[in-house]
Amino acid sequence: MNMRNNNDIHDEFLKKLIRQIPDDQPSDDFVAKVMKVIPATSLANKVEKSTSLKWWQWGLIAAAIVALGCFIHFFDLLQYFIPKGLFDDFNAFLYIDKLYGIVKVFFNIFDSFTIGYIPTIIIIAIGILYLVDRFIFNKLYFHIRFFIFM
Amino acid sequence: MTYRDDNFYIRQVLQGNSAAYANLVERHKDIVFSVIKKIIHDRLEAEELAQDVFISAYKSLSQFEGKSKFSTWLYRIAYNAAISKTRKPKKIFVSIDDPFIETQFISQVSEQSENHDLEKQIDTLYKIMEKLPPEENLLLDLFYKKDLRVEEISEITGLTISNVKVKLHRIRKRIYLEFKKLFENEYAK
Repeated sequence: MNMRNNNDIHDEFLKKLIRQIPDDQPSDDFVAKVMKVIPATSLANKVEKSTSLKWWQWGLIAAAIVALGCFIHFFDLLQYFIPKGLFDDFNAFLYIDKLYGIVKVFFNIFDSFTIGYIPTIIIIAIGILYLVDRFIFNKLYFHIRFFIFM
Repeated sequence: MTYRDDNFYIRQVLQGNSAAYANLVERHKDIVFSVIKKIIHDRLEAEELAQDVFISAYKSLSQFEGKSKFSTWLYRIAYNAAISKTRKPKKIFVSIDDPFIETQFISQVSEQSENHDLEKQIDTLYKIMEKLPPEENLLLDLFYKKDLRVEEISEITGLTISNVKVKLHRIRKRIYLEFKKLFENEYAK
């Protein structure tokens, strides 16, 4: 046996001997017994709980959506997706301005607290995503969690 | 058949396919049972507890964050369940100043072993392991038989890495001393 130093716990001799000692094994129907007991009802609650995204994950998604929105707006890419004349009177930023105003009024209650334009949009986006998550996509976003964040 | 890792089955279970859990049970039942059986010697009781462990792991599967391996997480649940079944958990502190085995002594014993009956050596080792405290027996089993890393064993048992190493070292020392006795007795005959 090669022992390089006294502190070494690796030991092929011992390993060889221990592996020859037969292992205790559970009964043949062990898996069946477990699967019989597993309650199907507890799974439904679990799926809902297990799929919740963390706040920073929502933040990332919201920031990505906002960035995409800004990109589309500043490079005027919307014209390629939406036929001309369909939303001529619609200005998304007008609505965001209004929301910004509401949020600002809310935060102005605390004089020392100020909030910028982009963070406002992100907060709104997080809020919308959260509501969508709670009420509509409770089961679908499971895939997002595992395929993006795992 | 295609090999799927534990995470694949975990995803399946969390998506609502509870039948996929059978694959995880099948894959880990032996070690979970073995961990419990090392601490609770009664076979029937150990099997019941192993079932409870799988059920409770299933219930809290959503809490498994994937920071460690699923197997490590599961074995830790098994270890804790077995410990709390027998007694209140006790932190075991081992002095790291414990004297180590002399290299020469180990080489001597292992060289002597080559001239002895393997069956007898296995039998001796089995008897020594039976006499060991359950936690030490488990450490030996996890490290030398199940090939778990010291870090994983530390996570399962809650011992520090250095304590795991020192304990393994002590157990080895005890085993080699027993072997030495065995060989000396045989020479005396």
